[in-house]
Amino acid sequence: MEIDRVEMLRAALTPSLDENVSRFKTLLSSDTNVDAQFRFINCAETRLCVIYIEGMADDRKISDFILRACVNLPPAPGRRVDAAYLMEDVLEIAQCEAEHRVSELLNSVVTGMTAVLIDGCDEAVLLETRGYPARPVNRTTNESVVIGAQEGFVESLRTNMTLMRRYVPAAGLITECITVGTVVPTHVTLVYLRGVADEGVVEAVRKRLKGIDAKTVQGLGAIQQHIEDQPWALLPQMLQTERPDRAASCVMDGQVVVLADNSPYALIGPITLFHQLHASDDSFSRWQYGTFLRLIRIIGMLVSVFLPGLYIALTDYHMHLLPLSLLGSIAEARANVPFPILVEIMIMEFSFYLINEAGTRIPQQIGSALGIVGALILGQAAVSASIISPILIIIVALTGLGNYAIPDYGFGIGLVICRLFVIACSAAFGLYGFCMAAFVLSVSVCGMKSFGFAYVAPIAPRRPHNPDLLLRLPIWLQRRPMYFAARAHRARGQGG
Amino acid sequence: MKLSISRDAALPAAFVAAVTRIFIDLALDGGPVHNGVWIAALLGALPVLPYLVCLDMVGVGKCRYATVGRLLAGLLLAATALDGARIVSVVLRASGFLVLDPVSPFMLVLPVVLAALWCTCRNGDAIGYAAMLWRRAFPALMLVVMILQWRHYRPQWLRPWLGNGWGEIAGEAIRTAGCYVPATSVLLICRHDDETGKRPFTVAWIALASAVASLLLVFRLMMTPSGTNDMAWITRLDALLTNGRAPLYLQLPMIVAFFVGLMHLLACECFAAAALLQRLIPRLNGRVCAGIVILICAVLPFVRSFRSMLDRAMPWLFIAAALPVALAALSQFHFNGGKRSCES
Repeated sequence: MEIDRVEMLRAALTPSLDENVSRFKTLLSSDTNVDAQFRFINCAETRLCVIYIEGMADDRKISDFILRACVNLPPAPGRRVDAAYLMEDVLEIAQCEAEHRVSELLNSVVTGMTAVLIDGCDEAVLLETRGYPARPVNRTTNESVVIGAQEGFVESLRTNMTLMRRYVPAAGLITECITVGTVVPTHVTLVYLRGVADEGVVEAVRKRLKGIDAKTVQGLGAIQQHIEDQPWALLPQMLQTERPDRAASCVMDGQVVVLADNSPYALIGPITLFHQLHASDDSFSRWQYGTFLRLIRIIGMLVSVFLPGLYIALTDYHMHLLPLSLLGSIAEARANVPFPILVEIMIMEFSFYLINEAGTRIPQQIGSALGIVGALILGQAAVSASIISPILIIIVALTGLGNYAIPDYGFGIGLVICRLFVIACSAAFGLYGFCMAAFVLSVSVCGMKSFGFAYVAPIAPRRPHNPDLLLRLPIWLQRRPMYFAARAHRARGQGG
Repeated sequence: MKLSISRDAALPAAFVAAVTRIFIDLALDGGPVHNGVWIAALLGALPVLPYLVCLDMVGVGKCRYATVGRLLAGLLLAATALDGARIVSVVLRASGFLVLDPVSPFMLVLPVVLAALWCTCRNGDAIGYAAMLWRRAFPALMLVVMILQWRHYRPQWLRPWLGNGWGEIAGEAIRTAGCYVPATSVLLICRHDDETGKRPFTVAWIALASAVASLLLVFRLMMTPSGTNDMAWITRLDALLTNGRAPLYLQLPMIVAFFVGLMHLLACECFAAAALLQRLIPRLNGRVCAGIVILICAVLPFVRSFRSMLDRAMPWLFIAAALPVALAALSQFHFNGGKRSCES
């Protein structure tokens, strides 16, 4: 049975309408699938069968521009009813094409397109009738900005492509469609600016996407794991954004954007560590403000990774490195705490992320209760019960704030794991372990690559770059293109 | 896995390694610190320049005779691996002093050895680019150290400028030159495939390395008078990190700089030794080479009289390495009618 299905998929249409329809009925399991629709009509004394999926296709488009146009059409003298005739003279839908492959027709029908099979013709007409319910373009939920565009990507790939077109209204913008997934296909679009993006990078992304041999690929998260340079690394080597303005800015810098059906965000590559610290506000603000905010984020990242480890190393091993007054207050605060600092810090870290995770999943109506639980029970009560010291709450709060200052969610989680590593090393060997952890992390990050480009470039290795990467310079000095842009584009940019 | 490093990454790795090696050797490992060490650090760079030019000529794939190339690789491998072991012993003693708790030496060596193994397996570019990052962060950290301790430096302690005289300065300059041998062995194995297409200038590189090492030694000399530092290794380390008079809490950035610098040095030398071993025995996997080298580095510090033997050999290290390199470079030049073999 399965072999028959495979053979049917590989086959092309035949001139027999009944045979073709029977084939589609089998492939769509029409006896059990109630939403697979087969509508027979007569057009110029020729039998047609309109195939579509109810709910995925727009009923109004089908009845107004296909059925009404075809039914009771008088025969044209000397003209045979075939795909070309229907497309040129009858059907009133702008986007249509002739197709003879069963697999292509089937894959298009299940995405909401309509196939019109013609008796006596081995080609069908494929019509764009997608009209399934979709979320309209809304404000972003995770990447909020104070100043700047407020639109975010949605689940519909076509809408996302339109958003990209709107933000980059250039003829050179290429939207290349690729299908990934061998059993359940997912439509993916590669977006780049011809002449600005490096052909080698585009080819690398294309090759990796086409090389995905998974049966199913659920969204961009899975695609990212398939195409990243180092899937074992803790930090992501592609940027995820739900903001079309940010994706557009990357496209104009020569990066490649990947969009996918049912994924309300975009994947961007190649990137550097510093791209993970960018926010859309930066480019909407004056350069001084943007620079200041980026510095805050860099400090936030360092605090997030190193502060608890440093605290544990200093208070557990090197008390003499603390000023006497600070040492006194720490000792006083910890006098009644029964646990070692490592246990204390792990309790707080765990509680913090428990509240964080619960806050993400909790229904909005009872969300305020979580704040009360977090602040009162885990904060105030834990201090009163001498389970943790007040100074540790400050440390964990600063660490959490540092983490939240990082715009990229995945990158933030990666940093949390790095922080746990620093904490473990510091707890075991004090400052010696702290330095070792910092060194190992720095070598690991420096060894990472994103589509062949060093992750910490342009700092290490040094590369010519737009001065809008680490800190921002005035906008009129931001003329140099990024080092991963096309060579010709870089040469033009440097020439001014 | 093939161990390799681009010249773009090898130069900063060697830079950080050389500066740290010179500083550790002259300020800590080489016995009492005398006032002329900063001059020795500068003078020591002079014989190294022709050595590096020769090293560049006989680099990987350039040597006309495979046997000569192998002999050189073997020689540098021995020097680098032994020096790596010496660095592990410095880390062992310094961490034992700093961690304070009675931790067994094995437990102190294990993490740094694992870290070095991990870094070597990340390959040369990761180590080199991390060194490049450190080269940028280090001045900022030293600036913090200097601002914090500014009032506690005593410029008058730099006098007498020549310390115990030219004889001692010459001896220490030769030691300094010896420090460059293991630190720069990574340059022998680097690839010339820079994206920028620019060939970094060796004279500027070595001048900067010796100037930075010399500057650090000047600050070290302003910490304690030279007459009082004729003391044990651990006391010298304490004086280096604590300054003797500054409040203890000001040590923090200095300790971080000291340990991170040491780890960069160790990673660079372990990688270079492992890569040289792979050049000698190409069938060996890079990870296996790294494991062998790091095992040697971890075990040797526990061998009795290892340090005293290395201390005795240190003044001769440069001569022992430079002579064969120079001879190999000369033979290359002679047999090739004045052209470099593989580039012509």
